[in-house]
Amino acid sequence: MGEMLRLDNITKSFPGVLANDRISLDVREGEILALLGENGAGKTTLMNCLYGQLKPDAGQIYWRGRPMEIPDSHAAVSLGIGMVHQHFMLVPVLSVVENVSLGLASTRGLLLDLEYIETRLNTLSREFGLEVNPRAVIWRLPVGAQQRVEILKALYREIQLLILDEPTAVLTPGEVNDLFAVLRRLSARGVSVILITHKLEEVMAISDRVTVLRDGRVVETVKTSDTTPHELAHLMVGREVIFDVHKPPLKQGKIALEVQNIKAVGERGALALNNISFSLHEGEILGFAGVDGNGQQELEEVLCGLRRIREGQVFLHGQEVSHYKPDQLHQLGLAHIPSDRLDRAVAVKLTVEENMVASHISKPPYSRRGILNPKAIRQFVQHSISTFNIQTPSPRAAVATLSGGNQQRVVLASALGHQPRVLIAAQPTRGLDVGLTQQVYERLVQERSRGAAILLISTELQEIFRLSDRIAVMYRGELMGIAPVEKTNVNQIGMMMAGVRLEQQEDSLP
Amino acid sequence: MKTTFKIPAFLRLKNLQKTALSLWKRLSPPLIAVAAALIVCGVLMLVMNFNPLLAYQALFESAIGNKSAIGTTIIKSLPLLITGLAVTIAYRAEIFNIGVEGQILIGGIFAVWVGTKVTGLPPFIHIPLCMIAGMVGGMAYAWLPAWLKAKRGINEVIVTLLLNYMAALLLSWVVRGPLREPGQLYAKTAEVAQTARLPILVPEMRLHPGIFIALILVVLCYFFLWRTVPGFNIRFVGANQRAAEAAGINVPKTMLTSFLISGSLAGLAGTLHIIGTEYRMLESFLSGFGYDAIAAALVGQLHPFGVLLGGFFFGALRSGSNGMQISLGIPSTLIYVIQALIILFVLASYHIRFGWRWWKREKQMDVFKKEIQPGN
Repeated sequence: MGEMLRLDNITKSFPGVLANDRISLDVREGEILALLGENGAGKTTLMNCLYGQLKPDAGQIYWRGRPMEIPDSHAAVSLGIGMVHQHFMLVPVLSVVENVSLGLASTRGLLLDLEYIETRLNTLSREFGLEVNPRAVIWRLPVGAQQRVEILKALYREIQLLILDEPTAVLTPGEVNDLFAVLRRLSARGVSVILITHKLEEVMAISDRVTVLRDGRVVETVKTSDTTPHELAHLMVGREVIFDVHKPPLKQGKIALEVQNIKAVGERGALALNNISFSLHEGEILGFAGVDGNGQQELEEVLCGLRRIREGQVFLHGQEVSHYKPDQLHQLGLAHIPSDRLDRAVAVKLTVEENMVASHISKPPYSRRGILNPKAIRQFVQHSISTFNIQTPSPRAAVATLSGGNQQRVVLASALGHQPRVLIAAQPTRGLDVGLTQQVYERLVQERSRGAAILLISTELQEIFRLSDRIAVMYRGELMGIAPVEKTNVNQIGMMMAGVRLEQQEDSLP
Repeated sequence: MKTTFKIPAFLRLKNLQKTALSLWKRLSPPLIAVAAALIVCGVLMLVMNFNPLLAYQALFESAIGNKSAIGTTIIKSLPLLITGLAVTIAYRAEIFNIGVEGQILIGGIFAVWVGTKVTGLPPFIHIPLCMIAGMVGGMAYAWLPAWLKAKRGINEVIVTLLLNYMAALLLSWVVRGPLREPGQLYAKTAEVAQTARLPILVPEMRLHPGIFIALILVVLCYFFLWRTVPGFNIRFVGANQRAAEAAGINVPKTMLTSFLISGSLAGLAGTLHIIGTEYRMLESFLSGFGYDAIAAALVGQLHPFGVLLGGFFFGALRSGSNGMQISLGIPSTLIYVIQALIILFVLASYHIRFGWRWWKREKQMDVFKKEIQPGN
């Protein structure tokens, strides 16, 4: 196998952060290279340098042995480098063919050439097993299919190196297997793949070699067949990782939150929650699994008073709260860790201090008769900064200046600072590194031991299995079933994530 | 006895440097913008065959050259300053209240009405009554766009812009109709009663206590925005509306509050100008001051203390431009060119770095295109 790409001492710094520190790596023809590292290790920065979206401060990119400057993504594509971003770059209202045609010169001058593209797309999808209807409109497609469109888009441009940034985050276990099959076929045709990930099992399952990054540096590059998940985890974190959370036995208390037959509509006006009923007890963690976009976000919003309920009722400690506003729910001891940090959880222009007290600001001791009490605020914030080990130059620093992990700590401090009785934790570890994830797990278990009722919404199956006492799965806005964690397994949950109800599965058992 | 001398923390060299640096970061964009605008306008004057140095000297002298000039500057600054605060409070909630122009007029009409039609009150009741009337007027005129924005999400810029025209037309009807001074050739309202007028403190400067009210308002605004719950909510809503909602802040109510406070401040600005300086309204009452106040607030970086400086700066430009016209015959409209340039440069200062990066990328692209040419 010849060398296709070589990065030589790539260095990139942002104000205050050295994101990539003299990184060197190489990719051979037809090889699947995993780029493994915690969040913030510099994986995405490095790939953006390669894809022309960032300019490295120093270092050299060699493409097939020749030194190259890649000023933008257009240049990268014309070299033969394609990238599938974590957030897809597709136009939702256009069809698959139209999305592929964007930015391409038509063979018919000013006229579009969609038939020709469609024929070629069909050939490509057959060749690589990327099943997709070229005429389908993007927003109607499930996420897995949208990802296939992204890959097709790259293949159509005859790329020789495909970069995938955390491609499995949005997929069901079954879809992950399909994706891996496609990647193997690509590599058999001589297309190289760089897979950015922080999941060890994926690295072991699919890659030929793996380059481990930590704190912006290459720790080591090893052949996958010569290593173990344990060793990789050690390389990635730089210390032993305890993957198991010590969870004391369940001490289930009274019902804290009860949901009865609720219906709610999503952003597009379609029914996003259909007849959902469940109850959540004190001292229990109820995990909601499911592929992103099956109603979890709407459920989160409904429970926190951010989305209107069309039908059904919600009870908090026996009190009906179906149409309560967020601040009323906070008064009753409900706390919320929003799924999208930058969207709902923090105002990055404001300070750490202001963000931390925002949901308590109108109550004593933080304010009296509408006048803030800086002393009480400062006290709470100082305490939280040390409890949650938040790395910030000062409580008055803008949240925008903090790293993602520290921003999430601010969110946790704000949500957990006042001993909530019910906690809605949506994707609480999204974008966090292994070490920090571990801390969040321990913290959630602590809250559970204290007697808090926790509703955990997460797309990470491992997280759900490690923390939950019971696991619920949502599919297209409907509840597929709730199973106690000790009586279920990944297969059963995976089936529910694909739309097979729990009771149907039990029926089919011999 | 041994005394140890300890330098207070804020006076230590390191902290002084820090303070100076952050102050420079804050002040440099508007200062550079002002300098750039004056230079460009100077070139314009050269083209028009005027000597820019003489012009700026005349501008300077007639703005702050003597007591009466300073008085004029202050009197023109006050409405700009107070209205600038109005713009600031709305803007902190991410509301662009262009409607201050109209809210000034409606506030003024209310104040004139109370000042002329209500009589027989002692000054210590009549004056506050006029001020309250003016604030109510401004607030009432802000209510419609505020409600539409908060409850229906309708763009406030368009609504207030249209309402400004309505306010101007309303004023021209009022000075001809209901509030017209009887037996006068020109359309203007009657003067407000003596009991409704602010006392003149320094006669040769025509200075009235409005300046103290304005200065107190600057401090109050600062206190309101950074030390009270509604102020906190306003800034949080302005910084991230969806996060504010999740934190339990009532977003529509907060928007309504900031918009109404903004309107009442604009109304007060109009009122103080009437009961302190003009005593009546003409059709051209404070025309354009609302728009200038937006400029003053932007140059003041939407911070109450910055707006204080911005207000006085634009007031000085307004009063200095007359002097420039009288002594050198330079059209005072040129001042509007300076003002517009300052705003453009302030806005541009946020984007200059971006433009620079873009330019560098383009150059890299050229290099790249040469690189991948076949046959290289």
